[in-house]
Amino acid sequence: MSNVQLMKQVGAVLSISLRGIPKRLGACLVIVIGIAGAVAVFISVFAMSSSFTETASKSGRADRVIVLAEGATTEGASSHQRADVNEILASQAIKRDSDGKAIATADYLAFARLTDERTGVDTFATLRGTGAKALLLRPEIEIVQGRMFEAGVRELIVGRALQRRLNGLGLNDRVPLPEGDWTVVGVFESGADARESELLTDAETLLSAYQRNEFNSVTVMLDDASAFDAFRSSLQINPALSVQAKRERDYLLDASAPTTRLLELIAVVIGGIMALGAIIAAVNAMYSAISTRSMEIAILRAVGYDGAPVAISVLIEALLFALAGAALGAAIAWLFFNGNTISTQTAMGPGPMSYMLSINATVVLLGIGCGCTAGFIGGILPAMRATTAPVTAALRGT
Amino acid sequence: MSQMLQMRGVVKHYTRGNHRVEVLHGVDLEARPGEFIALMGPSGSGKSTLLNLIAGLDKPDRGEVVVAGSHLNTLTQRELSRWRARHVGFVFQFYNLLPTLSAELNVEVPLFLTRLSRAQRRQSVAASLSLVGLTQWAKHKPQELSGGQQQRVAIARAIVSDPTILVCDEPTGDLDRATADEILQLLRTISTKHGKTIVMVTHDPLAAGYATRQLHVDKGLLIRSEERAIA
Repeated sequence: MSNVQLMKQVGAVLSISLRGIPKRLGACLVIVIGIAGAVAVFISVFAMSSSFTETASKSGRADRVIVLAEGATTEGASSHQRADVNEILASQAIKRDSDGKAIATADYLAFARLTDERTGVDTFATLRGTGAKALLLRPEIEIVQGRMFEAGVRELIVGRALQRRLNGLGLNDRVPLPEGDWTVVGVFESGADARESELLTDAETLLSAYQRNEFNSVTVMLDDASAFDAFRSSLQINPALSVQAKRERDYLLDASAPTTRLLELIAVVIGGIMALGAIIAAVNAMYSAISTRSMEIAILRAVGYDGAPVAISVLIEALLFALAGAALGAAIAWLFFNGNTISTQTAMGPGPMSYMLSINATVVLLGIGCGCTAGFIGGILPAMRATTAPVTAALRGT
Repeated sequence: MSQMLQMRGVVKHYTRGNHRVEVLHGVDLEARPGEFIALMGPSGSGKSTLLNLIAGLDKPDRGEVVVAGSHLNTLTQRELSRWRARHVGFVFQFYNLLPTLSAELNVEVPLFLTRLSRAQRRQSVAASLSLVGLTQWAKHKPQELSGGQQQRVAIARAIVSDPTILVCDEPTGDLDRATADEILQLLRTISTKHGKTIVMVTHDPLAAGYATRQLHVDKGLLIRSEERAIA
């Protein structure tokens, strides 16, 4: 049989089959709804993973470098003495401002205890003590309300994403921290990156309040991205230092990787369970469809239709239902979850990171692909049944 | 071709539960082109099994079945499908039309297996429906037609691809006498005027009276053959 003949037969069988859908609408809807549910869940959970990774790594710039203590994988696990900070800032590869001072900050991480606006439960927020050059180092930070904090005063500014999530972070609100309340004097945005989930304040004031004298990390801006190797070498050859330098983007990706992997695992496990359910539903529904169509299939086989076009048409039909279900699932996920802000605890700081769920084209295509695969797998056994069922028995059974 | 159908020493078993039951015990049968044969016999005598073997829907366990020059024993399932599409037209007791398709689309179903163009297919469908007197019912679905009309559509479907042989399984079993006579007259016309060989299973002696030869099957054997001239 030529391919043209085969496709002609498939088209004819499929056309006959699709005309019968109104008579077996219930079974068809089982497939569509089953796949829709699985795809909606898969897309939503997978969007968590991809949106988290995107947000976590968004603020990474090629010309910004973070310096951690040797062996530390996150800022929280890193510690620099003041002397180390001075040695790092002395590197000639660091960009200088008009006054000749290094565009860099030495940061200290603490946490503030606040109340989640939605759940009413106490939670933590990352409180970052940073330096005077913070806005030069991070031009993406924009004060959208109020003003920048002042050094030596118990003031802080709050990221927009954090402010949306937690109570008590409005302008002039007071945040209870060691040695009294600190005043919110400004609100900033930074392109919905990880920093927007933090409180920022003056590092020296924060160290004093917490009676500490060590920083967690040093972040510097290079003259340009190509200066990274020179900067790293300058630190490596300095016998007084035991530190590691990472491009900021690499650091953010590395630090967020465990959470990303966990979210991906959840997506695969939950999506897999839902997909398994959808496959079983598709198998049952397609078996039911084959059973309902047994006379029709027997007639077609009797008048000369080969098993292959019948099987292919069953598979295509299962795929069409799966496609419809997957599209419906994607639409549900997009309608209910796209743009929602959620927060996840990460290894990047003491407080959770807020991020916006983005149901983008990649996630949708992946979900639809998985849904169609489930439908296809669900159609295989019924397709085989359709070609092997005895024709004579079906014809006389009518 | 001197013989349209030759069966020699055909044996067929079925397995029912743990039992292997021999349904046909070495049947010999021949039919000439254009013959109209009625297969008669009590239920379970093996006549439907015989019909399925002639139609290429089943294969014998022993013996030889040659229809329209093809040795059906030697064909694979795929080859049998192609052979049926080319040589066999089916008429069933309960019409077995596809309920979601109009009469003309039901008739067109076998033509999708051919290389005919859409226009040629439409032409063949119109000719077949005209032959069975249902031109004006072409757009109607089976449930909108009477039993007799549905069987006419089934006959149109059976002849549309110009098959060599028509196999009819109780074609009038679900029809009243007058309608049955019309259908049988139509089958006889197809046999005499269009030269089609017809093999028809029936319990009805009046239906068998339209055939040119009556073969009586009992307990898996052909026990009697009666030939009669068409009036």
